Amino acid sequence: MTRKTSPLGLAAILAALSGVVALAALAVRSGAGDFRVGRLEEINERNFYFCPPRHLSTLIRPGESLIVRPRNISPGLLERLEFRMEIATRDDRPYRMVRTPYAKGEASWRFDETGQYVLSIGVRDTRHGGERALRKADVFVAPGIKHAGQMSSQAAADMAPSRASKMVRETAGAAILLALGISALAAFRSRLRLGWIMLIAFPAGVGIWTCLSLAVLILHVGCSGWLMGCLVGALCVAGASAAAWGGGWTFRDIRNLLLFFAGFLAAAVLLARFDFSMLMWDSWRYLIFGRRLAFFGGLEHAANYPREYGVLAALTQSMSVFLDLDFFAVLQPLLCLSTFGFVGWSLYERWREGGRSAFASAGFVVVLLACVLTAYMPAASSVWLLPNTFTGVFLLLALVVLAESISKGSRPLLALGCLFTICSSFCRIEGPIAALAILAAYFVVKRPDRDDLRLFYVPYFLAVAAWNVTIWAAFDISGGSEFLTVPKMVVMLGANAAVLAAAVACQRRQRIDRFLRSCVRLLPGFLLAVGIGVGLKDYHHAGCNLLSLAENLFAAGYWGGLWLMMLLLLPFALLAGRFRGERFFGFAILVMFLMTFDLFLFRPSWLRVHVMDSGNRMFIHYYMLLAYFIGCKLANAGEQGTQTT
Amino acid sequence: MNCSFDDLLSVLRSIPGATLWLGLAAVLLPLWVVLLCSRRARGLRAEMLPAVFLLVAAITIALNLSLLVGSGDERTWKEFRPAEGTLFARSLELPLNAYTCGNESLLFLDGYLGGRTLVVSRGGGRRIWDDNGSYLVSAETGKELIFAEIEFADYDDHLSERQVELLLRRRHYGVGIPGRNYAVFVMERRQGSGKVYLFSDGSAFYVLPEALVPEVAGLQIGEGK
Repeated sequence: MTRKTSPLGLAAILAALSGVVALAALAVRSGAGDFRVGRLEEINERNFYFCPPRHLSTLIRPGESLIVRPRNISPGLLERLEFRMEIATRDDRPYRMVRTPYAKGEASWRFDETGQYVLSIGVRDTRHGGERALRKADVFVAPGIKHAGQMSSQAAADMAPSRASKMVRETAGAAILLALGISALAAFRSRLRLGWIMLIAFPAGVGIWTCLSLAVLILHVGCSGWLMGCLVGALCVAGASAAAWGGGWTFRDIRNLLLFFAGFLAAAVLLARFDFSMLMWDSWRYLIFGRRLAFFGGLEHAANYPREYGVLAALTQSMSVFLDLDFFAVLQPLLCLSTFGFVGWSLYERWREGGRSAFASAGFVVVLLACVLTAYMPAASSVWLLPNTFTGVFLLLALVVLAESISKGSRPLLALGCLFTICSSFCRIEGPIAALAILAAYFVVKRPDRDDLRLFYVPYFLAVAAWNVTIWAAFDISGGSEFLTVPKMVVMLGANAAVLAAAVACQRRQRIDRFLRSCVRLLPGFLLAVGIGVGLKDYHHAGCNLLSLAENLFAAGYWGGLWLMMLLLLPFALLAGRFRGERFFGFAILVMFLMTFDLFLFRPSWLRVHVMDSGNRMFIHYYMLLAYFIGCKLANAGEQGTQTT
Repeated sequence: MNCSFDDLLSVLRSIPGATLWLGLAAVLLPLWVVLLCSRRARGLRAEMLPAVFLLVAAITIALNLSLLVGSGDERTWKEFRPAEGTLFARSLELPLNAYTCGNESLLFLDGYLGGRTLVVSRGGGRRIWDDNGSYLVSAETGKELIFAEIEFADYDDHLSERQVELLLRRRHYGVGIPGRNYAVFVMERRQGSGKVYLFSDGSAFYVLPEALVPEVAGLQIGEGK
């Protein structure tokens, strides 16, 4: 028998939690230290990250000079060689390019403006004549970077921030986001299970941080550490107060919550200590994008990034400026850890509901997660700064939470599902189109009522419209961007407005409701027909794209045996009884897959066999969704009955 | 570009543990049909489905772990991970052979880095690097730059001309062998002759002076170190 806490006691404990966060934040500030910035003295394997297959990359700060000084060359040859640099901008259009004159022994260039540059190194042999292009490198000049360059000399290593200081900051950042999520969810303790609150808290914290940052950017009030700190603090206090007022907490709950908090921070410390993070290709762009937003406090200095990249990954990395870090490395691994934990917990609950023993249920979850996490792509994408990982996490959470909200009629879950849907749509430029699958599935399985409008359709539409209109107003998208074009913007806003209008119309007339929902039910068939039609029209293109995709998923080894396992298990899973929320979940997954395949057929460029291929990366969105679906179905292996949603 | 049944077969054959998966599918398919159709077997679903899951999961985990540690298959996690490159490195002596394969020109450099075969495919003027092409094309001189990729294959597993042809046909413009290192090959073409700049994966750089890819046989190798 557990004893209920008094609101006062709960408030005291939550205040203590806030105190921990405040102390952590204080440690961040005090641990900043005085880091002098050195310069990159030579390019070698240690001071450049090597981005396969073609590029070296380095991160420096404005005003830094990059000096190329070759090594491992015989003195005789070095005496004959002259070097120069060719620097081209990447994030400005039209492209600008400058060349330094040839210089003996080394070449250098000072980067004064933040941005992304491509550095080509040329060499000339003075004896034989003739130029040689040596190497290309991406140079990312980001504001507020402390540890400029990845210097190899001992002196530079001495200037680097201490490992302990970095670990403290990273952990403090994780604690802030976790506290933000817990305080937001704690108010709904009476309607949410504790396991859910704990495991969803971090993604919810990330989502709330994203929405706060978006609001600040859209309102042009100047994004600063103080402002964001005040907003986060105010939300934490409001959440704690609401939790104290709402009650529903027991001492046992709070003990478990504190244990979870401590365990989570321990995980953050370990991840910060062993830093598995991978930065490649677009990772750098998201990092610069986020740092620009936070450093300059708005969209004015964001260059072209907002119209080419989804904003969520950048906004999460904007925290690195406030935390005095170069890169907030533990965020994405912790987000994935939380999500895998949530998936495991949720599946465990479903297996237990199916009447199985705790041992069997836990064993099933462990085996399923082992299948997923022993494959390269799921494991690598957990530590690789990619918008696809964020998309996959938030799509999964949105679907699971909304399915639960439908089956239980829970308003807090509906609001939470809306938050995750908004987050999933901000991960990539075309996110609002992908999120249509969620909206369509929700529309099909549940007749929209007032709560749905108030807590789901309207907030979602307002968030998407506000951000896209802001970009439209601030940037020229009429031909300056390959990613966000006027037709794409019109389709995104129009389709989402149409869904909102349909939801409003369905409330008025039952006949309209039936008609519209019947139409949306035909969406998978329509997408399939479009795919077949386009595929037949250009079957070489379609065939080669599908073949490349098949090779990526099944043969290249990036996914191990994961997708083959899914293919073999799916027919068996479909033999099992329906689980709670299956119609919603299944419809959304089906529409997402069909939309993705249609996208592959429509896109003019070719898919290729490579780990970074666009099609290969898009399946990061879906592997956990499908694994979760199969797990839920197998939990009902013995059931013959059906559920309503 | 073509996409033939041969290509599909070659993809299927290259699935790690293809025989095992095929055997598993051959066992599971009849079982699935029985579970679907037989009224008596329906009662066994509660026991059979978890058992099938465990069987497939065990094979998946074993395969994933073999890829992780590199046993049983040449592709490992290590090869998918970013490697580190150096700017200058060893000198090389490369015997060269050139082949022409349809519209694609191929350049073989046997003995590269002590035991690898270098397959160069020419891009035929296409923009291979979507994001890099714009700044690499030199409008100033009006020279046409052609980009292609270089793929590495194990020397022992020397690719035949036919295999390379299939490789190129399937991959449109010579996109690389998965899990392999890549490099960039740039040819500067000027009225039938030109320079070829060759970038390796960072372990060496080479200049093949005044050469055009279809005519490279007998080329002199530029001085390295």
